[in-house]
Amino acid sequence: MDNKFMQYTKAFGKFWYNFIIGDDWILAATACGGILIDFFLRNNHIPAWYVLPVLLAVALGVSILRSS
Amino acid sequence: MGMLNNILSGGSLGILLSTFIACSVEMIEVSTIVLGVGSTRGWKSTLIGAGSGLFILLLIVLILGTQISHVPIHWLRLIVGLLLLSFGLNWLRKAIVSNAKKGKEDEGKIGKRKKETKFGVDDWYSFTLAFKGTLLEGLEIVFIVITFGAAAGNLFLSFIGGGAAIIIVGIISIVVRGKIAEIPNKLLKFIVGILLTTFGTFWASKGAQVHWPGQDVSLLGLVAFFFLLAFGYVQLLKKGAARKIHASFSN
Repeated sequence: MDNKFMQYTKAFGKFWYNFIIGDDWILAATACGGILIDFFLRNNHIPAWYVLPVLLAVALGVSILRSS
Repeated sequence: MGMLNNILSGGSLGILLSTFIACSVEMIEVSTIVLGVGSTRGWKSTLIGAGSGLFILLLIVLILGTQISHVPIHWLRLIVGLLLLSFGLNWLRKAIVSNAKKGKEDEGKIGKRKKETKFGVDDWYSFTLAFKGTLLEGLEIVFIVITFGAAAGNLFLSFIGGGAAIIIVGIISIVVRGKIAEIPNKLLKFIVGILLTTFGTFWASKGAQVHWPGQDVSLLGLVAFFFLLAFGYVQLLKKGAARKIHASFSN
């Protein structure tokens, strides 16, 4: 019973790791970091809509470079 | 006849139209994700995911009723948006690299399907994407119907407007599904990557309560931005620019 539970937990964890991190952690990290910056700017009443797209554009480029 | 006159009066038409348009936008968003994921990763798991999301949504509506408008939906938008964005970015990166390669398309990991089936699902990625999208956008549709209806004092008309949007956009989606099958697989995966990244960015930012200029219309600007970006990266890769940059950093 314990073995099956551990197997299930591992498979569940692996699924979400692959879903969120995939092949490059930089993309997920940039997405989270961008959202934190959004929260900060929004709380200080500064327009923040452009932050995430710009950060993601750079992260995507870096990720492609790393994979080439 | 009296009821028909009531519906066709100016104010009532306003509720009908505004609910219809707002709900249509949300339906288009979820249809885009379901169509895109279903066309590229397979329909069975995608439709089970969408159906499951709908089932959970119905349960929530039955339990909460009109109190659902008090649910802090922006947290759900944030979580769903971030998950969609993380997955979409990886998908887009692989699609960019795949499109930059000459010759036959690289099925690679984007099209990879698990053969193991559990609860009828053989691809938990497409299940999850369809489930999240349907649940979130379904909740937004319910929110729109309730809040518009409550503001106008006519829940019945806003319900009709929302229902019409679901039916019409649903029918259009079924018709479009056949046309999507004609798009080359490589290009389709590229487009789906752009759309997942766009919706993920938009929903996650909205979840952080960031104000987008033009609200949902800014989605079009985001699609154009990510399309141009991805296209640009494909061209750079084709010209071997990535390898040259890598080499210059290594020296």
